[in-house]
Amino acid sequence: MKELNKPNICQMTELILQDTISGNLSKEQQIEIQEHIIICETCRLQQAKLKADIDNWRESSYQTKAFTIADILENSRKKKLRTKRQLTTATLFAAASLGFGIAIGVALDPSKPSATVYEAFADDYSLSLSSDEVFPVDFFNE
Amino acid sequence: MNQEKAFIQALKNKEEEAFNQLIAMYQPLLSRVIFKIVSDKDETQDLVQEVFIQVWESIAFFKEESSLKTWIYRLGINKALSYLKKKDIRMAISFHTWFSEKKPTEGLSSSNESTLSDIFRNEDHNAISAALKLLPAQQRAAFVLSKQEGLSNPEIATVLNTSISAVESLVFRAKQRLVKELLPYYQNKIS
Ligand SMILES: [Zn+2]
Repeated sequence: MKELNKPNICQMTELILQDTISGNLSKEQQIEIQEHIIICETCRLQQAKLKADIDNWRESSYQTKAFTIADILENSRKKKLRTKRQLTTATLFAAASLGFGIAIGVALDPSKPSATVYEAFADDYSLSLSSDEVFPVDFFNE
Repeated sequence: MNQEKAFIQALKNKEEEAFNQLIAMYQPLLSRVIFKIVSDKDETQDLVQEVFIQVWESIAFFKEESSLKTWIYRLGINKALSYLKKKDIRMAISFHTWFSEKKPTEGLSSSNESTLSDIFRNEDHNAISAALKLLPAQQRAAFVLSKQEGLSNPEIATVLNTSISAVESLVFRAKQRLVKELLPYYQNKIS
């Protein structure tokens, strides 16, 4: 980019891109490009830049840190425990909110003559959620 | 029993040594492919490990209808694509998207909102990888498998679990979209 300072409005740019990226031009079109880049410096530089960008992209890679199967099974076990804890907290919170909502609903129910907010809370709406069995842990793995 | 069969049997027997050998063999391939699709180093690190956990957990179900390498490619691509899908869903419902004036651009599987110049300005200075971020996830995967990994269309079809004609269409559309997105850049309209 830096080496091409003037704007390039050559009509051949698109064809050069088609050729380099798609590679499905006709023989005639390929010859047209070859003849053109001999006389057009901008397109010549551009084609070189495009090829360099593609090579850079191909070669640029990220290598993850080394690990063994024992490492990743341990990581996975820790992650599952964390998920389980988060899930338990979320579920208990949801259950508490639900219980609260139902209690308020009952307390404000006009069909229930002598109910007060306190009496409504006294009703047993608590859901017995034993923490670990709410969902199988694998529920969140894919 | 040939060598690959014996190796797969060792994996099915959950022999740690065999798994460590598998990791040594396929970690570079998975890192390369997943990173090219998700464009995020930390996520790539996690996703590669998740693929090996999946191999550990599901090797018993590997029917050996394809080669081990193709199966590993498939698990890796699936991981990357499902990560992008979840990320898109998270982004769609995030407050950031609702309230921020500036749209997030990084790693979207198909970002109609962002442009090549956004990505170029903010995060990626290789035109090809910046433009790839604008492609829908499946097209991006097909392009990476074709151009980067040099897989044939029938091989890509096996990896993506789709037909050869679907792969041809994906690769064709990916290339067309790249040409369209890259044209202004190579015409010096984006810097
Ligand atoms: Zn020209």
